[in-house]
Amino acid sequence: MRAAALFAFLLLPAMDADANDDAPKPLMQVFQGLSARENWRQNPHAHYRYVLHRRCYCPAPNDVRVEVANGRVTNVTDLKSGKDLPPARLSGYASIDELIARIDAAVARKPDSMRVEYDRHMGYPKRVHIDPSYRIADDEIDFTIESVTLL
Amino acid sequence: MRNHHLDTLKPLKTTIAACALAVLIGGPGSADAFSISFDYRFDSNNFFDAAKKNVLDSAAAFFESRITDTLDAIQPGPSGSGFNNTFTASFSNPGTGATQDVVDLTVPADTLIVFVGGRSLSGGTLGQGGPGGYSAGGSQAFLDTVTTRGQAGVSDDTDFAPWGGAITFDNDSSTNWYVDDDTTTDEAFAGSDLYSVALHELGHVLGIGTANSWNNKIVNNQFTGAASTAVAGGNIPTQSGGGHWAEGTSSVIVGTNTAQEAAMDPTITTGTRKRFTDLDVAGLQDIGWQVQADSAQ
Repeated sequence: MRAAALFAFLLLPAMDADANDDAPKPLMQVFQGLSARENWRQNPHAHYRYVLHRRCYCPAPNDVRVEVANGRVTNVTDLKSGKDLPPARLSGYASIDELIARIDAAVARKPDSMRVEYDRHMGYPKRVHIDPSYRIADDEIDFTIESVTLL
Repeated sequence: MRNHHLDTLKPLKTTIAACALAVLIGGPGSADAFSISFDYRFDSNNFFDAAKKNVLDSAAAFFESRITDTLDAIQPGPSGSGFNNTFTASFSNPGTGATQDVVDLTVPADTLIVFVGGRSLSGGTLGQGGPGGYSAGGSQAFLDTVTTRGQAGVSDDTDFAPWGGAITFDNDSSTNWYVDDDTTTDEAFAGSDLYSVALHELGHVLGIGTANSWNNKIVNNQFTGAASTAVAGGNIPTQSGGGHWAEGTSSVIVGTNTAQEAAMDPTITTGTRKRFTDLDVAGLQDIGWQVQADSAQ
């Protein structure tokens, strides 16, 4: 009886408001698709940290650990010094979802050169080099991601 | 009438290593009339105020006082031989990022036109820039002028002579610009140095990392240009892709013995100014620019 009540409680927040749809929605969802890339997009990773090595004409540091909570970058640590960046500097770094959006936007514009490799299991972009235009410098999207840890 | 879409053609100048080196070690002087003209018509987000324009002018002055090339004017319109010469400049609109065409752009002799502006650049990128493309039609003489601007080595990719190009600067909250009112002095500051970024992006407009005459000197990620190797004492590693010197490449600031990371390596740190170094100038020479020796910046 107690177990049944708990089961009902867990299902309650996921019930669809539409009276015509009486199929209960699960609280948790796991996606394993044919596309590794979709594994990241379909699974609800909102809290995680990752190590970013980026190559861009932007203020150092470019080798950092990025922490994301509720889908937003909340902390960035300079791997060289071990120090956290001040909050004002966080806007120069992105969540993995934002990086995927940036990749999609660049690919849609038909870049002159691109290589995008997604992690086989989790589906985050692991190695990325996109050069939108050979004639424009410093417009490249160039980074690697490793050590993704779900929190 | 011939119509050419020529946006992959790159100009050139005669590069002679010995002369290049001699230029580097010669005495100071002023170039003739080479000029960089900034066009703000596409600064639709109003990035540039008077102070920022002054910084940009200071960066241009560095190149203007050293580059001695003479460049033919690009003057579209009816020609004496009955052709209607047309020239459309294309570049990345600095206010939007979209491809922008300017029809019948007139480019004065000895002048590069650089369209500048600001918009939000993703990932904390401070700026981006490069030479423009174009399409042109008309007499063979006009097409030759558009392509080479009178520089003999352009057609075999040993020289570079563009009409100009475009530079975009980041204007979002990820960048705290330091706008110096006197770029001749060095002082402590916070933020990203607009002068340093302007020098760097103008270097790209002038062909570093973008010109064929730069790219064809890269072998196995090593830059092999004669002037540059003379300065560095050997081939110079480049960043993967060849757009910059490798990260951490050092030389000395032009006109001094002060060691500094090269302006055209791929990184910059807040609170730091990066002036052009002897190696950066040698890179311009290897692209084909004629550069005279010089005093401190």
